[in-house]
Parts: sequence; structure tokens; C-alpha cells
Amino acid sequence: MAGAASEALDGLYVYGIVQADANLPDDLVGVEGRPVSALAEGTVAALVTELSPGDEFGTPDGLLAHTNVLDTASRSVAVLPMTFGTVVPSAEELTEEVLSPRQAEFSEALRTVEGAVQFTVRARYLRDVALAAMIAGNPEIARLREAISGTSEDETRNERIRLGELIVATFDRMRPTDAESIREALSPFARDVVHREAGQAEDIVELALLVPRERQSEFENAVESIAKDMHEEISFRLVGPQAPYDFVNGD
Amino acid sequence: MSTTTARRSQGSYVDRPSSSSLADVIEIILDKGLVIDAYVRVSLVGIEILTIDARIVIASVDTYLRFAEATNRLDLAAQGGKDLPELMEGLTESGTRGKIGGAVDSVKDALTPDDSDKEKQREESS
Repeated sequence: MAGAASEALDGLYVYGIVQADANLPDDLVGVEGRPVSALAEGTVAALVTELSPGDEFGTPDGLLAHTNVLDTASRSVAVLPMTFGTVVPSAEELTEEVLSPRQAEFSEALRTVEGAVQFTVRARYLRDVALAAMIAGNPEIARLREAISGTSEDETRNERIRLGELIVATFDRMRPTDAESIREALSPFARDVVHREAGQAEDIVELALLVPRERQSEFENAVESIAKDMHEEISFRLVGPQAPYDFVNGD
Repeated sequence: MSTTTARRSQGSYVDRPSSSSLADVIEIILDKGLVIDAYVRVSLVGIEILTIDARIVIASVDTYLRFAEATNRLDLAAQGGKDLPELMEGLTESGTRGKIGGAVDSVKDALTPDDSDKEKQREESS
């Protein structure tokens, strides 16, 4: 890359922090399709890409490149993800203002994620199965369903809202037990677990799990097993292995 | 990136993307990670709004109406329509089998992975 463009606005895009002696994969492709290199200071190093003026970042492609670099690196080395969109003006500034003063802190954090990867498990009720069970099990839900049948939304707006409220309340009552079962089944395989709140009424739980690499197969089998047990009512989505996004302090 | 161990046999009960989609990435990683305040320079083009959509818990009137409408469609399915396109193709529940029990059964049948449609139709038409 032509280093001559350095007079103006270019800088370094920073993906994350690794150990200085980390043996990085050599095929990392960064933002804007550019190469990724490690800038070391003492015991730690930053994964960076040199930017040029006019580079576009903050785009969906940039976000995918950011995760791809971190996820690929995390398969073989310990890595602390930076938040997406971190750009420093120069290598000197990165070294002096960030790496050097925070070396001990980064080293400690790297130890906590060493040898492990993150998986994210999302469990969600199969909506129509759940609704059918609610209709069968709750006379008021069944009655309201009959009441709105063949009507327009305007004609039975109040009944519809009441019906929807009952359904959401039923999901709210069902959720804690199922969330706990899922957590209990999977957490034994993880070094650490972060429980995220459900986003939608039919979401049961989203768990981020820090799984040691040597337990990855066991963990995957455990997900498969609980998904099989619950498949008539609940769908499971598993994303990973990824870098430990949920297990670094975002202070 | 292509070294994922993600590929599973077809009999898997887990939905497992072989590589992260933008939606997954946004949901999982956006706003995570170490922050060095002074250096977060990038404004997120077109991403912020998507995030809000994906994350916010919407227990609003819209949600209620959506669920009500979903029960309405479930009702249609039990009476012989085939109006659950996102769940199943070719669900051809006959209308003769009562309401609630039939609805539960048909939905479950349709969701059983190894249940072929042909078998189901034969069974139900007898």
C-alpha cells in the first residue's frame, strides 16, 4: 500500500486486540478488501487496516468485514473485539494513547477469553403452534378468536387488542420456565453466559455463551439435543463460533 | 470463514447459518466490544435504523393486532384454507375435523420434518 498518502485523513481501522505473539491466520481480509496487520506494543497487538482518504466505512459491508476478521482470528487466537467503527489517526497515537497505557488490562482480558469462542443461541416459540395451544387452553382466547372471525380490523379493533394482549401475556408467563431449561441445558458447557432479554413476544431467550474450544462439539451436541426435545414448540438458532463480543467490557 | 464446522446433517433441528448474515451481525455484535471513546469515528450508515427495528421490544397495539390476525389465519387453516404460507406449503387440512384439535394437529404434522405431504394427504383423505 502506498504509505505516501499519509498526510491527510487516512488512519488505522482497529478491529481488536490480540497477544503480541499470536499466530494469526494469514488470509485475513479487512474493510474495503484491504489487508489486516498486527501492530504490536509490548505483550499486546492491535489488528489494524490502513485506510485511505475516501474510504467508506460505517457501511453494512464494513460491518461484515469487521466481524469476519474477528471471527476468523478467534478460531485460532484469543481476541478482544473493538466496537465497530474504531479509527485512530496514526500508529503512533494507537501505540501511545491506547496500547501502551492499557497493556496490562488488555492482557488480563485476553486471558479470560483465551481458548474459547462465543456462540449465540436464540430460542423462539413456533408462533402458530403456540397460538393453537392457547386457543385450545384458554376459553377467552378461543371466544375472542371466534368474535373476530370474518370481521375487519376496524369492526373488531377492541376485541383484537384484547386478544393480542392475552396472547402476549400468555407468552410472558410461558417464557421464564423455558428460558431457564434452555440455560440449564447449555451453561455447563460454557465458561461464561450472558442472558439477553427477549426482543419479541414469541422470543424465549437469547444466550451468548463463551465455550472453550475443546468443548465445542459437546456444546453443539447439547444444542442439537435440546432443540430436538423441544422442536414441536420451539425453534432454535445457533450462530457461531464467533469472537467473544459479549465477553469484553465495553467501558 | 469457510472453515466453519457449521454444516450439519439435514436432520438437524437447529437453524444454523453457515456464515453470518447482516441481520445476525447487527443483532449480535453491533454496539458490542471495547470502546475507546475518542476514536469511535464512524457514523453507521443505514445501520442504526435496522438495529432499532431488530432490538426494541414492541408490546404495542401493533403487536396485539398482529397476533390477533395470526389467530384469525389459524382459524382459516382449520377450516380448509391454506393460509399459513410461512409455516408450510401444501398443508391441506380438511375442514371436517373440528376446530381446535384439528388446528393443533395439523400445525404439528406440518412441522414434523420427516413428514411428507403426500403421506399426510393420503392419511387425511381416508
